[in-house]
Amino acid sequence: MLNEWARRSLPTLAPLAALVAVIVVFSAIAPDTFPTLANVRNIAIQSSVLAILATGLTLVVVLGEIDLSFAAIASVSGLVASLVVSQTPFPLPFLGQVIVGAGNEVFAIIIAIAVGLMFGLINGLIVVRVGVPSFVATLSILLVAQGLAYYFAQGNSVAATTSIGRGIAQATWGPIPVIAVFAAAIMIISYLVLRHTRIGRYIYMAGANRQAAVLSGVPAGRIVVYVFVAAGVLFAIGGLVNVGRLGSAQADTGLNNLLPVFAIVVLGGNSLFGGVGGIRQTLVGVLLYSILQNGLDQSDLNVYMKPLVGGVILVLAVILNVYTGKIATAAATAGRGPRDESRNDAPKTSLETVGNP
Amino acid sequence: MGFERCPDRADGGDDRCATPRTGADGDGAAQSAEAVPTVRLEGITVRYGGITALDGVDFQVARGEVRALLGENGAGKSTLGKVIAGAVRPNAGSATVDGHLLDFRPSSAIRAGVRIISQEMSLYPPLSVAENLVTGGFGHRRRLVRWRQAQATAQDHLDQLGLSIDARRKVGELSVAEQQMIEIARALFSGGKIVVLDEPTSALGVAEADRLFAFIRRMSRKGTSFVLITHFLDDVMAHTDSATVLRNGSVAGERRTAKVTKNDLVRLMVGADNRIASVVSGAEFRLKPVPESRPRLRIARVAAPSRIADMSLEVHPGEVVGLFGDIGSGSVELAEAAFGVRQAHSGSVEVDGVAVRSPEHSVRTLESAYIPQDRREALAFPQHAAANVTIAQLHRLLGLRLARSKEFAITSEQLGRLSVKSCNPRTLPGTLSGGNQQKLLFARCLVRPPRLMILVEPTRGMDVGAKDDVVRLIRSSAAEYGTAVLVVSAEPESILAVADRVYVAQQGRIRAHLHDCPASSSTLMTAAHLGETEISA
Repeated sequence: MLNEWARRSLPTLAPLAALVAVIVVFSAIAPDTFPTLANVRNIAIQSSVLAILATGLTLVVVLGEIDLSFAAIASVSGLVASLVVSQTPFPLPFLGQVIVGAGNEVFAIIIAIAVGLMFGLINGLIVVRVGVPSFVATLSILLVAQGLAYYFAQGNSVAATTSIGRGIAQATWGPIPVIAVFAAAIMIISYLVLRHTRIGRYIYMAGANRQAAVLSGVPAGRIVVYVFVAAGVLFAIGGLVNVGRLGSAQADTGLNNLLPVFAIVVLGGNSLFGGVGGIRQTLVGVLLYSILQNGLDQSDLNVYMKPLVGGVILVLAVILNVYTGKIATAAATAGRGPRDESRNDAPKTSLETVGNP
Repeated sequence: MGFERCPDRADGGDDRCATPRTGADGDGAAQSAEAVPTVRLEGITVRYGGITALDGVDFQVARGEVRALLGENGAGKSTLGKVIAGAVRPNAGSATVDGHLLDFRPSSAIRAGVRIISQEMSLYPPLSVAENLVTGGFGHRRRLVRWRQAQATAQDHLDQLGLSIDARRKVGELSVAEQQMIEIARALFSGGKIVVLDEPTSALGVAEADRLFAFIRRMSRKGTSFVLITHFLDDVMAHTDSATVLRNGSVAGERRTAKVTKNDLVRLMVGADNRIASVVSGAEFRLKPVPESRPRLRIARVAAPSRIADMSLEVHPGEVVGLFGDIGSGSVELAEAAFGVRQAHSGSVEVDGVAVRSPEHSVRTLESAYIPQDRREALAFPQHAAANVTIAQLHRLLGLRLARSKEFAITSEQLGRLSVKSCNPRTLPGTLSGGNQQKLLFARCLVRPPRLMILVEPTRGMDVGAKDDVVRLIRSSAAEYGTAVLVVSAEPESILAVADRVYVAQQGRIRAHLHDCPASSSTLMTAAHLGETEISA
């Protein structure tokens, strides 16, 4: 039998175990190409944009909200930066064709981040002030932001990228790709903010029980707006780096990331009900997903079989998450004697309890 | 250990066993042929890990009997209820229903006609009464549900039970008491003969509870047996035939309620005298005069949605003021207004002369604290105890960077001071008992002693011992820190046990202000109904 510590830690350990298992299996399947330094670099580069976007989404999910608009915010921000830097005239509603910013690099990036910030602010205000559920609010903003991207692009692909975005995405420091360092820095900062600052604690509390946070004097409404704004900025940064990596911007560059990023956040063990999980969980999710994709690419499987196999493995990983979450819940309540019969609310056995801190 | 003792239980080696026998035998009327117990449990022993929750408990309910199951938290009431319902399998003991042996599985208990109605509502509020009854398992023999027919059948059943509720209404629109009646009705429709009710009245006002009990009485006359797990002794005295009292997992006594006083039951439950116990037994308390000092909380002629018509009250530093009022009296709404959760549309709500704006303003600027009636509204269950305790004071105690060691030290100190059992800073609140969850909320308030503390039903649903702990805690906070405390409750006992002065609210107005005079539970009830405005010596 597992001891109690092990059982309570299962929700943390299980995705890690799945990760190790995936690594071992692919190392056996493709011993010449998979477990190599070059491939590790590959994986790091492939996963970086996903990691930045997933970090933004994690902030929102821990708060008990959801943000579907990230893919479109990434699209439109990356596109705007490219349009500005390439001095491509682009249409603005009511203003006609304009050239913005005279090709200034820094200006392009500021504009792109401002676009992300603005959409984050709109998301936050619609959710807090109007009271629209975040799923609905951000789904609408997804369409608006993506629509804006299509309108700006006018069906064209913009070959220019900002040299900063390109630098982050393609440069290396010795053997280490800068993009991976950049993504890691964003994750570390987000981790520190969530776990070791007051606002991070407010995010967890407001995610776990909004009403309780309000009654404890937590400015929950402001926190929600801040988090959507911070997430919007991260999505814009993700979009910029993504364009830098691809070398050109199109209207729908970010859309491909929609489902992978979602899968990553859930895979690692973040609860969509809020208050549980965090950057650690997301990191495991990023690695699990990226390694799985990379490994499948290197295996001899039929090309048309790979998405299916990938999907099945993800389903198994989610089942493992929920299952270990249940075991951990049982462990947490096993110490509870019958004397506590009037306890109000045991943790529910579902995704909610996966990854208890 | 309880296991070995079971065999010699029959020869009465244990005097606890003797009590129920005499209790039952003493009542001649109960000995007719129909009084053959519908449910009989013998020697039930339940162990969780190393802890014995039930130790050789004998329990029985006759056909058509309403039997209360009493005891402090942890005495084993709910566990016994679950054993009857087949949800908990005992380590030893046997159970029969109408003479048929039960094998302690939910399915066999249901087949035998046992239904348990727990504290959490199991109805679907957005659906109609008829739809809710249908999900209880009748009317859909085929795959297709015939709604019109189902609704007619449902209405028929409701009428037969004497419930004047329209089966087309949404359950969410019904009062809580009506919802509970629907739950019972559903249990009966699906073939229930023995209904176990776990704390059915803890969310009900007095009038609503009376309606529910009238319904239970009617059903019992038709032959349904009820087991009523409750803390409310008045309900037990007024509405049950008999009571089994558990203490520490054993039967402390079994009584016909017609032949017992409330005080006897309390003594059986706790075996000790405390302030709550003496209020329950009808003792009078001397209320204090209004202090000379400047009031801390001053509510003047407030009107607010949806229930406050015109209310004024004052709470001075260092005193505990009770606000007695039923659900619907506006008392809870007034507490919310005093904390800024609810905005008044006329009148003024001030703390030390500053108008109350929002919960955030109350906590951070006015240094108020608020504990709502429902602890689930106030605790973050996925977060550990430390996060729950420090949340309201993070901005003062811990810098922008959270020092975990300091946070845990603060939490440990609070948990120790309030003697919160089996809880450390890492404990998840969901694993604690109701009383300990309440203490966790007090720990949150007292991390930095507040200037004003507003408590809604702070002792509701607790056993007598835990209530007494909380009462002491409230009184000592007021005395030690000079905190002004406003306690809102619909139970006169809870108010009297803690308050220096009492306001009585009814229908959105303050009906009476009791100060500098003796008062008992009945004084409060009388004041609520007579509507005197000032009572003092």
